[in-house]
Amino acid sequence: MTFSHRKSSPRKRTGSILLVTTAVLFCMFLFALGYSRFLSYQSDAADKIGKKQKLSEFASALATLSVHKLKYSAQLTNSTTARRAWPEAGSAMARLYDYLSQPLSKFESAKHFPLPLLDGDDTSHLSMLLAQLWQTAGYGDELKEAITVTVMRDDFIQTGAAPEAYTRNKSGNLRITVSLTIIHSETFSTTLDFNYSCPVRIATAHVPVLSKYNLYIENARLNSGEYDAGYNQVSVDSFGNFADTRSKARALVLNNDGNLNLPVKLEFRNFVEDARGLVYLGGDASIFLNLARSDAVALNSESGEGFQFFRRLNFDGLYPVYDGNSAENGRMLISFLDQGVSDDTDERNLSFYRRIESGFFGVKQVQEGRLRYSSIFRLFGVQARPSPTLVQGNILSQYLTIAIMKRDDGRPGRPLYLDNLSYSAPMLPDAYYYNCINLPEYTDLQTAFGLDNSLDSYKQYVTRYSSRVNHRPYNQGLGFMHTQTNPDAVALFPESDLLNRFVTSSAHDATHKVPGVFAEIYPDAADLKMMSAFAKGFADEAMASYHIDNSEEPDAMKLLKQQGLLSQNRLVADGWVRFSSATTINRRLEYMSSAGIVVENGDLTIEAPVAPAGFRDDCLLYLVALNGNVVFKTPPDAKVQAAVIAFSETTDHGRVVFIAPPAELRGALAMKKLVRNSSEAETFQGTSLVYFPALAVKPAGSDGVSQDAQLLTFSFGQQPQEIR
Amino acid sequence: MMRKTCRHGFSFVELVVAITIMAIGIMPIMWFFSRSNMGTIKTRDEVYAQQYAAELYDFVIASGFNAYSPTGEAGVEVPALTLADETISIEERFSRRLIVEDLAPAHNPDWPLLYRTVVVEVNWIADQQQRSLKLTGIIHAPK
Repeated sequence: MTFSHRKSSPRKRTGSILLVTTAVLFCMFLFALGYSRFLSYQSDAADKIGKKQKLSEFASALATLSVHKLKYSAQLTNSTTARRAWPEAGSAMARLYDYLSQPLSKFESAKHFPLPLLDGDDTSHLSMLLAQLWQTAGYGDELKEAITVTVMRDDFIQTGAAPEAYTRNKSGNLRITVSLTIIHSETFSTTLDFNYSCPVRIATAHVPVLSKYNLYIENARLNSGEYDAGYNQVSVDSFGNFADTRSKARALVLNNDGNLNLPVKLEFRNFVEDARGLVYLGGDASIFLNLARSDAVALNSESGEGFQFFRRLNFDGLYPVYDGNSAENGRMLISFLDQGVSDDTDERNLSFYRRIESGFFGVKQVQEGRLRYSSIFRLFGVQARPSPTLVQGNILSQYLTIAIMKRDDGRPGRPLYLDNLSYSAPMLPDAYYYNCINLPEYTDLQTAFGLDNSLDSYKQYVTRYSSRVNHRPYNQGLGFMHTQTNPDAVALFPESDLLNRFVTSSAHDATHKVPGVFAEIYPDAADLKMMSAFAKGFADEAMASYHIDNSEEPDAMKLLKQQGLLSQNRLVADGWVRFSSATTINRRLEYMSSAGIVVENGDLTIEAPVAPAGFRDDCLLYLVALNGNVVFKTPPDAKVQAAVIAFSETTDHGRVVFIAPPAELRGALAMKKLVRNSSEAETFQGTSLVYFPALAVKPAGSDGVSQDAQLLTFSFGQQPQEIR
Repeated sequence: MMRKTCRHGFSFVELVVAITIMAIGIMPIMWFFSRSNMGTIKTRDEVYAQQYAAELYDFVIASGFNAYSPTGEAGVEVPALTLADETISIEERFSRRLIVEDLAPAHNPDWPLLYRTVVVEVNWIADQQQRSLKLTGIIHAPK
């Protein structure tokens, strides 16, 4: 074993205990420092999380109030100038509404809108809310809020039944940023942003194509086999006033322009593009609607339709129709005096029927055509308030015509009334008829118009020259509404214009076509004959903002209240609400904005007035039964402002039933059928149907902007969702 | 012949001095660690407090507007929540108070919603100091 010895020397000592100690202490110090920083960071993080959580709940409250402001402030705006649910002009929210109401194609990729909570009409009450909230949370001036709504184009999709035509419908999400700034000192503050998302659905209370019609009936024919004069059930007196003691039925009186007093124009385009509602009475055969009598001395009768006849200087009009030459008297004229129908028994009225009923055919026509009763429709309004529009469908107006033959030189003389020829029974030998024309008083007639004792002459007399029941295309009345003193009403309308076809005939293809600018809305819908072609506009589930399963509960008001959509009997639904089953509106319902109520299965029964709240007259509520009827059982003085659609895929439903109609229905009516047979027509209870002109809005033109902003509904989600 | 001693270690004196220095040096560090530990406990308590507060707050919000009537400014103590037969209590060191108040009830008669403020306050003592955490939010219901 070898030991090596080295001489130890202090210089050769490689370490010192002090050095080691210092090193250890230093290391421990470093560790402590790091640990301290770690704990400090941890503490800070916990503190920040706590503060952030505290602010987060507060920000959430502010976001909720912001959404409620968006949702309700516009509805609460009760302005005589806005007349609808729209924010106060010039407010920050109005700018957001304006932007959101644009077509999606006009959106920028991202657009930011400051949304101060204290801005606009609701400043005072929201300031109370905020002040109390601030105090409760223990904050003072050191906490400031700023709320920004961001609209990103990619967050939205275009919706609606006809998005190319009505371009403003859309749904998507708003991004809401709540920025909370804590001011620590004059120079130091901390800002935290909290982000939320709020769904929004923008839909119009409008149904493409159908909304253009003040009255749309898919199949207006009564039961097959019934003579299509079954609608003629209403009694008027000889002055044109409703004879309520003689009549169970009451007329449905149309006001097709919402009291805009739009005049008759001479081009088809005018009727289609004006803010007036059209009428469609569908069906595969002619429907004869008797016009009610008016008297020249009763210029404002409530039920008469004399304005649809030729009149001169407010007197009954006698206008020449045929002329011929008599050997004895020279030029002879056959003139007509047209009159509506009445079942009154005064001489003035009976004298018309006497001329017509003097012959068998006249009696037959009067009886089969129910020529003592006017129809349950006043499609062009009444004498006191005419309301011209275009009537589509194979519809004829029926009335009485007294024929008179006279000299055209104005020489005095008793004119010859051309009665319906008197004979007692048909099917007698033809010779019997011939002899009727051979009466001595008809000598002038025979010579002037070349009649002899032939069957053809007899037919010519009965069908052309005699006093008789007459009918014409319903739209021919437009001519007299344009110029009542012009005996040739048809000639007013240029032959080259489509309207001319409507006034000269009721049976042509165009009468069932979707008219003009509305024809391109649904390329697949060739005509108006099937209501289902337009169903997407009112039956699409995607347009509903609220769904209520009410199979156990029919009380609509109770259900709406439970869903938070009714406040003080005021409907605050800002979109379309769907009920799964039959429901009843049994108390007065006021709505704060345009909206829609849809019943999927069963009847929608209206038992009380339905109207916009306050000054919101430009708002409209749609009432729709998808597979049922819309039934009115309202008090007689009730007013309803609503557009009504009754639809069904089957023939059992889809009617608007007026068991007890309101005094006025302002909106529009569309249905599969109004009455099923003449028995129902006999007891039909009509009302005043006043069109809501905003429904006539045209589809978008080349600029891609449809003018349906008035009927837009803005449905915001009630609870914003935080985006983390 | 004398063998020379080889000095490879530390002398006793050196050790004593070193231990003394170490002791003196380590004392503040140990104190520091002790303080840090208390900080950790404080942080933990804060996390607990946040959790307790959020737990009750979420419960109240989820229970709906009418589940809790206004409590007045004093509020009510809610030391435990029962969820699906399971009772969740807070530690005894903590106290938890729920304050529900109507929010500006007369702000606008036409406004279709009612609001209440919901405040959950959790109190505890840490490091001989009274600590408090407060969450404030709102809950609403149709009128």
